[in-house]
Amino acid sequence: MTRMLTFLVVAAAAITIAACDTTGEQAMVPGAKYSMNVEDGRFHNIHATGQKLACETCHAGTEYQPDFVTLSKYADDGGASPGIVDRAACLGCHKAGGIATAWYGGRATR
Amino acid sequence: MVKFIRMIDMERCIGCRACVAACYTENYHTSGAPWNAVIEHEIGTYPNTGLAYMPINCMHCEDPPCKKVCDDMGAHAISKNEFGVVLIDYEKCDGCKYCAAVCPYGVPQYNETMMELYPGKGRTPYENVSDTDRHPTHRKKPKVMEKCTFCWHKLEKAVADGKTDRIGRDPEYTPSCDVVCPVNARLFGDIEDPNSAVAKGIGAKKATQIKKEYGTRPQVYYALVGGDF
Repeated sequence: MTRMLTFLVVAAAAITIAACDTTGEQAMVPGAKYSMNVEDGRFHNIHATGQKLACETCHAGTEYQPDFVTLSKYADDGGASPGIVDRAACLGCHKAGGIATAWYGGRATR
Repeated sequence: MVKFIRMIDMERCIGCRACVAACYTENYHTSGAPWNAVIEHEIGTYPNTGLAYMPINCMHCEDPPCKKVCDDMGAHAISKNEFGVVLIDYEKCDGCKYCAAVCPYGVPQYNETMMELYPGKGRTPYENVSDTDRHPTHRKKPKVMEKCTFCWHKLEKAVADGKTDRIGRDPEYTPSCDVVCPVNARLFGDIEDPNSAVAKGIGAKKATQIKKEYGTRPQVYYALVGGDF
């Protein structure tokens, strides 16, 4: 019985740690953990890999096939590679009062 | 309190880029990391077309997103002093480029390498001026971010000399880009002084900030032509 309880406690702890790591909420340090080079896919690393956001969240107006992320890079993507998102798209979430870290519109400390 | 503001009159600007050249000379320009640029916008439809010139440098925002992300990163390399000037400390900057990613105006520049002004021909005496003889804002390094400082080395001198009233009028205490403009399209000075040329100019020209939707409250105003950019 004791061994069973110990196993359950350890398993629960492992699942919790794995969940935090998967969502990236604890470990998200853009710039330090992720390269900020466009060539390295900085925004994809942060928003798609880290935050698990759908492509359309930033690339609004672009239609993606359900299997888009598993397509070969040589396959016809149907025009779903719109390039770098206009920074105005960032404003939707990153303004003061938005759902993401408020880079815009908040008060800066001196 | 003195708060430095720039106004750029696009109606007067002829796109000569004297301001860009002056900035390069004054601030030890390194290739690939310009502090000042002039963007051309085509306006109208053929045959009724025209060009609008928009000089761009750091907006020295009152709520600078570059500083916010830098602080959140823990680098604390970007500061905004009591005169409203946003500066980068090259010794603290780790070159993460996060400031460049969030700046709505595309201002921070990453200095990849300290390229020679004339590649293959050796460094000029100008480039060989040692760091000890340079203002801290001119002690450039590779792999860090750079940007316009409002010619802080001049403003700092004015403050030290107790001659802030001369800023915007005396070339010694005025940013070089504003000094050299041949058509007086640029004004610089204290917005808190209702009698300053820049304060009067903003009112007379109905000048405004650009990309106000970002809420960064820039300290550079434009008398716009051809619409909002």
